[in-house]
Amino acid sequence: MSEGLFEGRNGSRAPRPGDWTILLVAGALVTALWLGGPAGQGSRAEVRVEDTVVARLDLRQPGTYTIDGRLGPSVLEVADGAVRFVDSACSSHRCVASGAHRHAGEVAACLPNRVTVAVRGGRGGYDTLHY
Amino acid sequence: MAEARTLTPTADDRRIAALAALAVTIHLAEAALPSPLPGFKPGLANVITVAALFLWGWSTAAWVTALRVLVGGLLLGTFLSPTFALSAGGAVASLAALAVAVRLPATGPLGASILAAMAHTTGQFLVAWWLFIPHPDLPLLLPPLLTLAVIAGTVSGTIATVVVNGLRRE
Repeated sequence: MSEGLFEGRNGSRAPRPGDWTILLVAGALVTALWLGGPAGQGSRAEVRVEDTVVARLDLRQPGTYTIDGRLGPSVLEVADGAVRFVDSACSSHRCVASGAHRHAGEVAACLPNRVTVAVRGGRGGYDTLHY
Repeated sequence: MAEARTLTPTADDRRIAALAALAVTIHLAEAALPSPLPGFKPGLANVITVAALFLWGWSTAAWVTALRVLVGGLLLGTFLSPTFALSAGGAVASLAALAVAVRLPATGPLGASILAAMAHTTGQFLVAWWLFIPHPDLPLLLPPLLTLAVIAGTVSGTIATVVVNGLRRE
């Protein structure tokens, strides 16, 4: 490799005002994105059995609901703006163990009983991240 | 007998080849390193592109990037795969950003690199959106990805500044 190979034509000195401006604007933009980003409080829960929506629950109204799934009843409870499974006709009770869900986009499911509950309304948040 | 013709590489050709080789090497080394976050790479090969932009102009930078994406794809076995489409989408977007950045007043490799990194992420994001997963929640990935882009752009821009100043030799 000859000496002259990397001889430049024009160049610049170390960071100039424009560089700092870009860094500041980029930082501000990213901050704004974070602040405007996720995740909102959900306002309602959509209950499905298989693919059919069987109920829409208002998360601001506490109550207990019994949903008939494929195996039997699933009991849902709405309290403090969140929805959770309190019982279900399955053996593992993973749905109950998943706890209360209040953020838009969150989903609880009792797969054996084919019952899912999705929190809707407000801005969506992360449900899961995968690559 | 047909007249024998020789293709003589010009100084530009040699320079582009050397720069592309450097960029491909960094590209490969980065692919071999475990990534701190799946789907994210610091993009240090961009140092070569940005340095080329400020020392020899946009077309050299574009050549180096195109060769890096092509050869890098061939060597990693991702050529024409979804990964390659993402890589190419990011490269096109960042070259577009660099074409703008080099015309901005009082802006050097640092600013250009930050712009290029953000454009790269945005370009990749759009390709991912259009080609693979037009999921309504995908934009939720933008804040963390762009934050990493700004950080990575700042790091590689700082390196590019040092490289440009070092090679410029008063």
